[in-house]
Amino acid sequence: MISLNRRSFLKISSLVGGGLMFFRPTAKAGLYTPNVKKPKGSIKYYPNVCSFCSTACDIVVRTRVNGDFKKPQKIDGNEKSTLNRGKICARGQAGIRTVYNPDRITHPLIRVEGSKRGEWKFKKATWDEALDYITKKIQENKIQPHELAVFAGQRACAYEKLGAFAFLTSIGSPNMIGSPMQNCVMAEHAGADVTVGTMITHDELLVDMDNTKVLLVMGSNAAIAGISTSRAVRFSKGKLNGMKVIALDPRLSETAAKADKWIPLKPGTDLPFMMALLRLLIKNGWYEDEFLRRHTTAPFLVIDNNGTPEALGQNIDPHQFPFTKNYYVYDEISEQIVEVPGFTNDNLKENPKLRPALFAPKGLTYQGQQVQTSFDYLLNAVDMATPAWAAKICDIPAKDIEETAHLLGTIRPAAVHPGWLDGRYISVVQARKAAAIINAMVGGVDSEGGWLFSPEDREGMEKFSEAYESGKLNNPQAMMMATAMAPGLLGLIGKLEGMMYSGKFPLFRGYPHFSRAYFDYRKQKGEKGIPFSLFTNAGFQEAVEGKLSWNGKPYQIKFAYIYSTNPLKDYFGYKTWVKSFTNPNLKLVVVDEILPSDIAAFADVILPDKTYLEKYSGIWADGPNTDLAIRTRFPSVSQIGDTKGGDEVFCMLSNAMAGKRGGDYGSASMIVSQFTGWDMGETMKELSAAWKGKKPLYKAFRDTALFSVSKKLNMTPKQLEGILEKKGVLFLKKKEELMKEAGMPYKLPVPTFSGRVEIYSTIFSHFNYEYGVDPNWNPILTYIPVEYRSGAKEEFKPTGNEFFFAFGKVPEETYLTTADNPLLNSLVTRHKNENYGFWINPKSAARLGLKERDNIEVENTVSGQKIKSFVHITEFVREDTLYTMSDFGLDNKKLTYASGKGVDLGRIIPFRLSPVTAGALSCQFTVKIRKI
Amino acid sequence: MDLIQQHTWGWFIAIYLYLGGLGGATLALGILGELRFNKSKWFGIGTSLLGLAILSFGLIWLVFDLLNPLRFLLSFWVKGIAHSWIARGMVIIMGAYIFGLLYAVAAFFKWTTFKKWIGYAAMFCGFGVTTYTGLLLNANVGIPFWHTPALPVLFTVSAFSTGCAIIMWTLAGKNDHDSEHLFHAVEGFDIFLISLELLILFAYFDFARLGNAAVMKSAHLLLNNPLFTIGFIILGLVTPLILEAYASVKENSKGMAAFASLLVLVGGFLLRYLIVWAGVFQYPHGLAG
Amino acid sequence: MARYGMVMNVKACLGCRACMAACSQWNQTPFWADEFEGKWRTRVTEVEDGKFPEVKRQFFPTICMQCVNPPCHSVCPTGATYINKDGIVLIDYDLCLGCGYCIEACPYDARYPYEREDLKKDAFYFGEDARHHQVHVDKCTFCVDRLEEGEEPSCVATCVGHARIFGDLDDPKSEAAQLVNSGQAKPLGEYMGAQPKVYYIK
Repeated sequence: MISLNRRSFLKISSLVGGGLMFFRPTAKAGLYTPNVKKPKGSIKYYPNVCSFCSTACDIVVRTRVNGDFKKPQKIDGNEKSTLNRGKICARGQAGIRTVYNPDRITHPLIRVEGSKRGEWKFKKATWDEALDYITKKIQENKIQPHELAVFAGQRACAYEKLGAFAFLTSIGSPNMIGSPMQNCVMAEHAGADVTVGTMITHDELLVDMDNTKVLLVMGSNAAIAGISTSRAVRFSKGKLNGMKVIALDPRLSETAAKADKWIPLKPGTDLPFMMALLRLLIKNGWYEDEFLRRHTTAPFLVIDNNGTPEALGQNIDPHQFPFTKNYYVYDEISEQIVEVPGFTNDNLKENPKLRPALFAPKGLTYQGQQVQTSFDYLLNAVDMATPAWAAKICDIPAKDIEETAHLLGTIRPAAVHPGWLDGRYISVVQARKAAAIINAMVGGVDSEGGWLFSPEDREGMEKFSEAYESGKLNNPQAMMMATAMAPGLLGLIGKLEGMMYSGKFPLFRGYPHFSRAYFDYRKQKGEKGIPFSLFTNAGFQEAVEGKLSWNGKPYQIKFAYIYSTNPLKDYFGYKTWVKSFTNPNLKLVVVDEILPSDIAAFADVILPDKTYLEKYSGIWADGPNTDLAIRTRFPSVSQIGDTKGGDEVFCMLSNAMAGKRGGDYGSASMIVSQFTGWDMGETMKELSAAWKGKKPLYKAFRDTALFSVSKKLNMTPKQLEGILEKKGVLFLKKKEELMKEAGMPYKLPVPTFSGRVEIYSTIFSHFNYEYGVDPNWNPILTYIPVEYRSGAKEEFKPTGNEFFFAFGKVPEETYLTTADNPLLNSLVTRHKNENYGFWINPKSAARLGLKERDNIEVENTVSGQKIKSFVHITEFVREDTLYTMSDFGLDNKKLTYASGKGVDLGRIIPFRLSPVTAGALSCQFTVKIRKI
Repeated sequence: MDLIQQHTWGWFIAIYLYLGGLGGATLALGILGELRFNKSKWFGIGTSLLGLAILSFGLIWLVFDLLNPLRFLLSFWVKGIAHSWIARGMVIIMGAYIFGLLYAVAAFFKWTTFKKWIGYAAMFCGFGVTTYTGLLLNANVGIPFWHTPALPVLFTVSAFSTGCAIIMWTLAGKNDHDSEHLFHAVEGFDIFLISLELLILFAYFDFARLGNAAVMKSAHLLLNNPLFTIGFIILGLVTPLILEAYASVKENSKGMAAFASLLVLVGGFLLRYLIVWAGVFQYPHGLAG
Repeated sequence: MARYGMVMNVKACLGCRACMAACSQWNQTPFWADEFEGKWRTRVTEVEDGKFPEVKRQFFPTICMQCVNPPCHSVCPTGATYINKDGIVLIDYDLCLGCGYCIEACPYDARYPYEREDLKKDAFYFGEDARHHQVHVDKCTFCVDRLEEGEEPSCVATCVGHARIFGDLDDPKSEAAQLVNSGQAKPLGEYMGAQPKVYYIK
């Protein structure tokens, strides 16, 4: 039964021989390290920054150090951190299992000559061989900078932005595809982003839930208990402090399970729900009057222009940023229309005696035109949204809406949680905008218990508003650079319209991002451009197929560099992406990955990446923390295989693209020092060393950051490094102080083009002139009806075997990036029915004669895609909805743990671009299921 | 309450419980037969050694069930004796070995008085072994079906019934008067034991009918298992009872009684196995899974 | 001398299972046994009560209850299971036969066998840092080795929802003791008489 190996045999014979020796165990023997000498070395703790999601928690790695040899033993949260408060989630705990994953790619691999992409036929190579291969291909095909597209995935987006920007500027290519921007977050938060100005991409904005008393949570599970540790610790504390939580979700997620009230509204009906709330809040006067008058664009007077509101004074030049000289409000005291400054935090800044009206008198005119306030417009827009109307569409009791409005309206502090990754419908932008407006109306912006801006935003806005007011930004170039370097929405639009889409940014040699060329292509087909689409993949297929041109010259993508992302699965529409990556026009595909991902099979060259525990980093701000702090990474693992950091690869590829003269690290240094405020000379020196291969880029960033940051803090680089090594995080200022000194919009403008919290969005108005009027980017609010499939309008109730489709996330995984972690795989496999199949309500299951784990075929009624899976019967989901997890469905056979498990969303969700953000309309369809 | 059927213990433990009870009962009954029914010394030596052999064979299964069989010796470490039924059992089994062997030696050399004293001690240990197999299961507080004082009684009665069966087998081939006499005495005793066993079982299930959820679940599992209803109740208890009763009133019916004993032996094993199999944990709600 | 105990606030548990991951990494428990649900020293189970939409989803953290009168201790034949001075129920691997009697006796499903196959996997994943070198029965130790270093048990240290509260029940200032003494937190399955030192707020 039990085989003896030599070791235990010896032990037993000594046991038998030693007779009763063995009856005298020592008190502690066998406790946890029985009879075994501890491995050599001593225990040390190295601080690091977790790399599994965008929360980027502060961690401490218990490491065994033996001379030069380091081996991590255990990861814990950094107790000194106020971000994650010493806690980390299962993924953070499982980090070491990713570092030592037996599936790891440890050597460069080159695809065998004559094999096809996707077959996985590779041979081991050295770095020199791999680089020679890449260089040869670049030269053979004369690949120009703009013909390279960089897929900068999760790690690049969250941690190596700086390296990625340096890389692109050094070669002069604008073609960055930041995968998470589009499909992870941007798609849904645009509506909220334009309202408060900050980028709520994921955790950039933390809600002060410790102090919130009423919280409305929208969106799926991911943001709180799904899990984002920095948010979850605050949520839990808030709950213990008596916070009431209302959750909107078609399924009972982990977050909804913790809510006091779960409202299982119909998928895709957030907008009518929010509009009904807005109506009740306004009609009952349940809003913060003073805040709206002073710090928002609610009192702005608007006229109707082609069916869309336009603020009086609005800068409507589509070729300029929408900074405006003056806006107009109606003053209740003087009963006149008066000017207010174009960019300020406070409508009363120049005239404290003003009382801007939220509601204009009936029949108010300005220069012969009918005018009303933005708030009037808002009320008109939601006037039809009675609770009964919304209840019918959302398929919930009307009293749920009334109760929610009452709680939000009458208890302070109240807030709406912006959420994270819900199903996307065409209405998502307006729905998020409505949610952000509600949050502003209940006073939840940069106040106790509300949405708090990050210290980076405050610092950036302090700088920007100073420059703006000084008049230094008079020339367009200075304005463009300052806006691009500004935080939040300003920075985003600055980069988007100033650098990426202008085609005039000098470093990019006159080429815009391929998406811009794609908009021209769309125009020929009579479609509008996609205005809010920084770093998206919109147009990639067309660019590969050679359909695009710019200034009369063909604009083709010939070289794709894919770093830490898996387009086949992350971007939906599996077949669309396979078609692109197998297209012979694509001369070179290089993938840089830790694990053999699905896309790696389609590479010509695979480069092995390092994990976060193996690298240094620059000096970073403490992620989304609301306290001002800095931190950095200290490696705690000895070299594994022949791996190199992804940022080292940036330097190599930059050199390969540039040919003999080497990559342009000068421009890269300029951009880096602009972004960070680091010393230009030192940056140049360090980046030069990195580009010449003398030190890894991550170490160069570390050294130059130490040099510049320590100077600011009046210490030596060594001292600073010592403190960071000891504490992990160095706190400079508390949230309370920051709110007092730099409250936004109380003391500083928020990063919008009016400086105020925008009920009326200046940037959406701008899009009306740049891309044409469209209800999807209505500057205030409008109702966007959802059509699930042709013939299935907003009030559609599926019958028979037809269902709505919803997906969400499990707390143990980060979409597909962690699925192959052995520990996390075990955690989710324990609940394999819940995690790998489709959730269905028992009533629906009974109707269709389905039993637990029965196999089904799921067909998308819009795209016709079909997949096979099984059902999990649970009361946690609506009767008309089929629900599944988004974290699984990988199929590279080299992934021992994850391969072949769960639902591949890319095979059921088609590639469809949403009109405002180019995200996928990920749930706007119905599915039919059949038992097989 | 979350009810979960136990899966840690299976065949091996059941075989051990069965053979332990069988061996102990054989030892006790054999010595009793020799001492009180004046059987030959070879009968006493034979049955006591047979009992010990069965016990040893049973112990092998216990040892195989250990994760670390070669640590078997550790179970003799006295530290657990204060509370553990395995440790106590080991002491009782040790007693059975020592006294059983001494008895055999005494019987061989005809040390009459010494033999008697030692014989009673060995009988006590044999008895102890049979009861202990029930107490072993009894200590599992999480399994209410086992955690009842009736279980050791049931196992003891069943063990003696199987012990009778073995004794009957050893006597079946002999035609001398003493053997005949003993055979029928044992036969009668077995009828008594089987009846008692049926009665205890009835009590057991009646208790289960009014018991808590886990006990009901266990009873439900057993009553729905044909191995239990047909295999054990009908073939392992009722049939041998009828056969033995019939044989007891008929001459030259040893063969029929021997066949009945065989059924009793099989039934005894089925009982152990099924009781172990039907153990259902009663966890506080939420704990399991 | 302390009387360590834990309070599980079921209302606060978010179901993220960070505790399970943390425990398995510190104690090297067989997380690889993915088809066998029992091989975790601590688990978070899920309870579904009621019907849509009035359905309740509850996450239920479980662990060794560190009983005052532990059935596992009373059945252990060799004394491998012992109670240390701080009231923590521990296993001396050197004395453990692996008879499984304790697994069977535990009314809280807190124990599992660490088998030969698991030893191989332990060495595979943890290399020379592997902590398990002989087959034995395994269970929660309240991370007694972390307590010696002055740290909380790994599951408690990482509990995101503040659902696990650890402390000395004899120290009236500790949060755990206060929750227990106030009567908010109650043990599970009291009728079984094991007197658990892990308490639940439901």
